[in-house]
Amino acid sequence: MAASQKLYAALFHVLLLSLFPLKARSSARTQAEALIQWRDTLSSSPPPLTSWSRSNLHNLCSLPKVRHLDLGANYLKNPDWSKFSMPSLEYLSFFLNELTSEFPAFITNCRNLTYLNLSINGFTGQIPELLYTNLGKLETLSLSDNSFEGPLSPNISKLSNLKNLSLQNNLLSGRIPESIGSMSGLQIVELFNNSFQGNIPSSIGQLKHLEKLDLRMNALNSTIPPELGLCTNLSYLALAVNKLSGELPLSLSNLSKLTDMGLSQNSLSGKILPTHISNWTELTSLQVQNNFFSGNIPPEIGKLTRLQYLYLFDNNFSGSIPPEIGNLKELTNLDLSKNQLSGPLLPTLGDLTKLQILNLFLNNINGKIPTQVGNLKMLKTLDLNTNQLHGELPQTISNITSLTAINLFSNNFSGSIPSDLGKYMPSLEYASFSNNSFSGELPPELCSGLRLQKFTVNRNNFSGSLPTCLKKCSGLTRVRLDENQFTANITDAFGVLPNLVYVALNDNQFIGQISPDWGECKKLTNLMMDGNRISGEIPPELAKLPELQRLSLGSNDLTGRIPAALGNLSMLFKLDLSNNHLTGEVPRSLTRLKGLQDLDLSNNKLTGNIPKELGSYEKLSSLNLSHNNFSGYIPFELGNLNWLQYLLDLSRNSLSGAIPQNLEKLSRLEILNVSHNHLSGRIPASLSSMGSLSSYDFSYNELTGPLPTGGVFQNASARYFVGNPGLCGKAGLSQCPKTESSKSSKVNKKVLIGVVVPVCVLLVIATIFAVLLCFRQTKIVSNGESSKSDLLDPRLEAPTGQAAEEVVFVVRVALACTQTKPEARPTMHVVAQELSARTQAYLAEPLDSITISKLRNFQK
Amino acid sequence: MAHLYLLSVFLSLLLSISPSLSSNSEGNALHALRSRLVDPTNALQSWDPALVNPCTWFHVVCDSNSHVTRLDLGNSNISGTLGPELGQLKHLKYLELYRNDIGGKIPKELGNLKNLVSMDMYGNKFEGEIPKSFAKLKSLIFLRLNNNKLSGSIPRELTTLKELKVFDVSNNDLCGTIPVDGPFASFPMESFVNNRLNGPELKGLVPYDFGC
Repeated sequence: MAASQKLYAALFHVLLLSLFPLKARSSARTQAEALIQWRDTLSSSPPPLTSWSRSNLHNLCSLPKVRHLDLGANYLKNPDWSKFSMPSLEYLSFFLNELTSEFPAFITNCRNLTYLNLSINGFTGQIPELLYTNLGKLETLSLSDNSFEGPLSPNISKLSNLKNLSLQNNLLSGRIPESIGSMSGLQIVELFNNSFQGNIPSSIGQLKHLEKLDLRMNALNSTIPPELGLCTNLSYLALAVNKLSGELPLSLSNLSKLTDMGLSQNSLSGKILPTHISNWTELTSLQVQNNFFSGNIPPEIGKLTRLQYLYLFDNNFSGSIPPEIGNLKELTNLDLSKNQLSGPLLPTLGDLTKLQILNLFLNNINGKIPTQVGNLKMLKTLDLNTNQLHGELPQTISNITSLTAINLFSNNFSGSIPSDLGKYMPSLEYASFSNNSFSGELPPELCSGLRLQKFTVNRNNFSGSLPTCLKKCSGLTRVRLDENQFTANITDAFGVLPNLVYVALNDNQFIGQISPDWGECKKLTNLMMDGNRISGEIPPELAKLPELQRLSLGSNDLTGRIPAALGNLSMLFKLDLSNNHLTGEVPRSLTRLKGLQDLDLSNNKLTGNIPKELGSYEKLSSLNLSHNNFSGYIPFELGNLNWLQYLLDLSRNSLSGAIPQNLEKLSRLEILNVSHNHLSGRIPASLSSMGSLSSYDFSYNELTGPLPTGGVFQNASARYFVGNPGLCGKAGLSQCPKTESSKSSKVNKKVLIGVVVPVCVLLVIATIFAVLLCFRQTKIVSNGESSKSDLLDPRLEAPTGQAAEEVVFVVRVALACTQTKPEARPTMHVVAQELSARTQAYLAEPLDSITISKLRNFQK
Repeated sequence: MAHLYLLSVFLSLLLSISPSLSSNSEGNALHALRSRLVDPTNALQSWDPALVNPCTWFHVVCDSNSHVTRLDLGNSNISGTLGPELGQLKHLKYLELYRNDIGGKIPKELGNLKNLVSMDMYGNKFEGEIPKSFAKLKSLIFLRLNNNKLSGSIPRELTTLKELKVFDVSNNDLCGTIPVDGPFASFPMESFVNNRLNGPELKGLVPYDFGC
């Protein structure tokens, strides 16, 4: 703490203490002198605060005749209470200090105390019984805002003169003692924010002078005792945030002096009857929200003409809002939301000219908004969301110049929004018109106050252009214009909005281009523009959005290449560039998007190979590359996409070569589509083990051989294989020439595989084995530079194409058979399967760069 | 500091409790889920309960009626536990929580997800038993609970799940025998390895919880 503050604090205390002789009604000369002496020592040199409170306070310890001691609002820390003795005290306050001890024992000897205030400290432990037995003259007991714990003793009733009991904000528990009813002088009882349980004692009804009863925020679980209605002087009744149940006792109607009634957040039920409330004409605040009250809102509510707060929200009230509510001319806050209110909004609502908050959301209110709503000149919040309101908004709504929030979403509104809405609303921050049938243009000056933060109009029929003020609303965090008919040019519609987090412009007819300025909206997490007519190229500036997680630009007229810089969007989990006219290759940098879960580049004009690096995505669950001009092989690395689940769609490209057997590892994949390519070879038999596959399509390729059987192919429909003239086996396809239906031929084939293949393999092994032992880095063919011997006869022409693949495949299998550990070698069954299926034929790299060591990784 | 405290006391004296903007049970359920989870990489940062519904939250997918149909939180570095409120997502089809660090028991209320097609909880730290209530998941096709710490036996009630195509409980601490009825007739043995299971049940010979 700054030295000046310390000085100030010390001087304050000196002043305070200098008043002591005046406050003490009969100050003995000796004591006054002692105080003055003490004051002098202080004023000569103000000591540090802590030493003052710890040591010098002790000078005050023994003042046997002081009657009035007020040390409130200081920084006193724990003194040695055992040295304290002030038996004549009548008034004692340690209010707002830093005392954290147990209850100071000396106080229980101050038998003349009428006023005791220890509130707002850190006192702990239980309230001593001696307090009740010794301090019978107490009129005020305030121990609030401490950490007192334990139950409240029934002996509290011995404080028979008590008028004011303030124990709120402690850790007290147990029941509220029934004996409290015998403390007939009680005027104020504040027990809120403790852990009291059980019932509200019915004996409270005996407290005829009770004016304020505050039992909020406990765990009271009884009903409201009818006897409470006998406390006819009660003006403040607060029972909120307990577990009270049952109905309101009719006797409460006697509480004609009530000004504040708070019953919120209980489990109260039943109706609020006309008789309940008719006498509550003094009421300024009626809060019964978050209960289970039902029935109509009684028209007699109109008698409570002093009401400022009427909170009935989150109950089961039904029926219509009584027109008499218009009598409540003082009302500032009206919240009837989350009920089952029906019927129309009545014109009398417009009489509530002091209203600041009008919340009627989540009801079944129908009809139109009455024009009189324009009279609510003080209104800040108008929230009518999720009702059945219809028709056009009244022109007068534009007159509510104080509005900061207008929420009309999820109704049946139609027509256009008044064209001057917003023009006279300099404070408008939240505007939502979503999920209605609004049409026409947005009011051009809707955001002219430039305070707009959340602006959502999605799912309407809005058309035309956007308010030009949008780009100046630098506080905007959320903008949803999706699912409308906007035809605006968005190139310059937004500019740089530094606080924008979420923007959805999708499913409109926006034209123009994607502005590079989006790259300056540094907080953007969501940018959706799909389903428009946006043209031009994707600006590489988008890559400057460090928080971007979802980027959807699909179904537009975008051209050019995919910017390589997009690989910098490290937070991206969804990237949708589908249905555009994008050209060029897939930038390898996209594989840096390690968090990507959903990649959709389908329906473009992308060319080149499918990058094998795509197989390194660690979280990808859906990959769609269909409808492009990709060529080359399907990289076997795609089989490493362990978490691929929803989709792998490579259809309608120009892919050739075989379907990698490796795809069998996609054990969680549900949809596989490789149709409409130039894929050749057999469908790997191992794909039948892709247990999650529920849909696949191999049609219109150049696949050959028999369909795999079993597993997912067991009940395969032919239409997923048509257009492959060489495929055979299943019904609907041609019959396989070698595997006629007769059983004998199957046996023959088994014999063939069982005998011939192992012999072949052994021969291959025999010829290669010796070479391998000597030349582990041997290459298959000479690349002209290597001095090492090559595996193949250099006099022969190096194999190409499918021949090269088969060489590599045979060598790979053969090498596997030469593993030193027997268990690492493939079984003959596996070898037979591989040789007959021949689906391992793929080349990850040029033949002349493949070394033997690279081929020694056959796994099975 | 004391004066700040005074202010807070003063505020607490105010009776009013301001209402939240909306009441969306599915959003509330997901928000309750979020409150149970630890999310060091902020995968759930966009889950703003003040929004009308959870359909714009990341990793949440809704249908056209704004009902949640997919929860994609696989590989998300989240820990914590699940609670009964997840059972309120009545329209959920895909519950993807795989490869995280979520522990505690699998809430039996997940059995209320009548439209669930896929439940992927593999690669977590779930313990306790596989809820029998899963037998109510009549649409379930994929149930992957492998690589957790689940114990007890495989509930026989699961044999009534006609659509179930993939069932993986490997690498847990399950005991008893492996059901053979219904869809269990076709599940490969790899789905059951690394447990304390005693092999396929022999009807009438060994109780299914033999060895538990």
